[in-house]
Amino acid sequence: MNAVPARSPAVDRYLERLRDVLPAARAKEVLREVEALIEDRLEQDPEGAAAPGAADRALAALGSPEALASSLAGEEVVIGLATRKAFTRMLTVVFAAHLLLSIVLTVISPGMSLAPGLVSALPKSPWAATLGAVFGVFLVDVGALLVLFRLLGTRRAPGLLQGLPLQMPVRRRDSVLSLVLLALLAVILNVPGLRDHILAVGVGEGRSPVLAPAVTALTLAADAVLILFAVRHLLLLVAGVERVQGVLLDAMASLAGAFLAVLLMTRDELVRIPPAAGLTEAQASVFADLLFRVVFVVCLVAAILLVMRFARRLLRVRQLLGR
Amino acid sequence: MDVPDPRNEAELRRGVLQLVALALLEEPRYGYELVRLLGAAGFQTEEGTLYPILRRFEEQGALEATWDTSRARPRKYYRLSEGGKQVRSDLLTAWRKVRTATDAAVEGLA
Repeated sequence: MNAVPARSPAVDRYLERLRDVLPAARAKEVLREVEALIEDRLEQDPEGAAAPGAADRALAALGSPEALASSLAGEEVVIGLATRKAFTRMLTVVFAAHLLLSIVLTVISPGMSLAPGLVSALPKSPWAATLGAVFGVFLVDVGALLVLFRLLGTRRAPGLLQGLPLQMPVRRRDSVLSLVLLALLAVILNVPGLRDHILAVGVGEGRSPVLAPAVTALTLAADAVLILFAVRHLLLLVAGVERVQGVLLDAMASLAGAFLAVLLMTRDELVRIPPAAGLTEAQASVFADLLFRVVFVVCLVAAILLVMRFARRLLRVRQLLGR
Repeated sequence: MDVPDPRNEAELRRGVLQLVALALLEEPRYGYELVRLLGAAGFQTEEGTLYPILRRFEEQGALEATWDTSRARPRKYYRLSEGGKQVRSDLLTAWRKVRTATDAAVEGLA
């Protein structure tokens, strides 16, 4: 059996875009057939499948993904479908991030509102009020997106799909690099001597660790997240392609990471800077407060990005299962 | 208007592409093979044009399709089905009518 050469990124992009503009029920079959057509043409390219421009020639013979999907399904259907898909994808991701923000506000400061009526803490009881508030968050997102799509129009709105790709990047080099970084992080976190030496302020005898005990107590939880990400990268490394199991694992790792970030945000103390580090008590307090805010914002941004990633991965699983 | 626009002729040929494709599918052929055979027969076409036609015929039952999975990369083969022979015959009849009508309409033109 001949070795199967790696597919060109241009072909990957083409197939992903085609998937976006095809009805889900027929996407899997059509993609398999189009992929076979591309490979046949590449295989018989006079300059060889790997020659520069071979993939572009094969794709040019198919026309744009939109035009091909139009020939298969009728133009209006394609535009309507792409708009609907773009809306669903945007709504899922925006709603996940919005809900997370509301939950964080609820945990940190009940009754707090960043933008009244739009981004606020959820009522904790009665449960009907919580449920109503969650539904309210959903309705706000639906409304905001309806306005956005109305402004963009049916021609430009489907373009949002390309800005929010669901395909998980699969590059072996990236996976190896990520595994090395994860291992490094795990060593730093789990060897107290090393951790307290690296994450410290001051010089010589006055050098003291900055992480508060409330943070180091979460090492086990952090380890669990690191392991999930490591297994996800190992799976990708072994398979070399995006599979449902890998995407699901990535979703779980992202959710666990978001959960850890929220957990960190709920700690009363994140960093501790003792006056012994060469600062006066007042200076240390100001510095610790500043550092607390920085870490807090980093955790918030990380949590939002991770929960958006979680939502995208779930959508991808649905897509791969052809639903 | 010195150089003829190749799109005019391509449009003319596109109409009969379905009939010629069915004529070439007496034996199993894969998509790109059919593109090359059509090109050799004077019907220059590309996958983007041919594939929707093949798919439509397959959905209508005019073509039977099988995947050859014995290769490193699977390949889909199409072949005229029993029902497809009737479709081809109908198209042939339609083509003959069009040709007769066209001949009559353009008779005497240079």
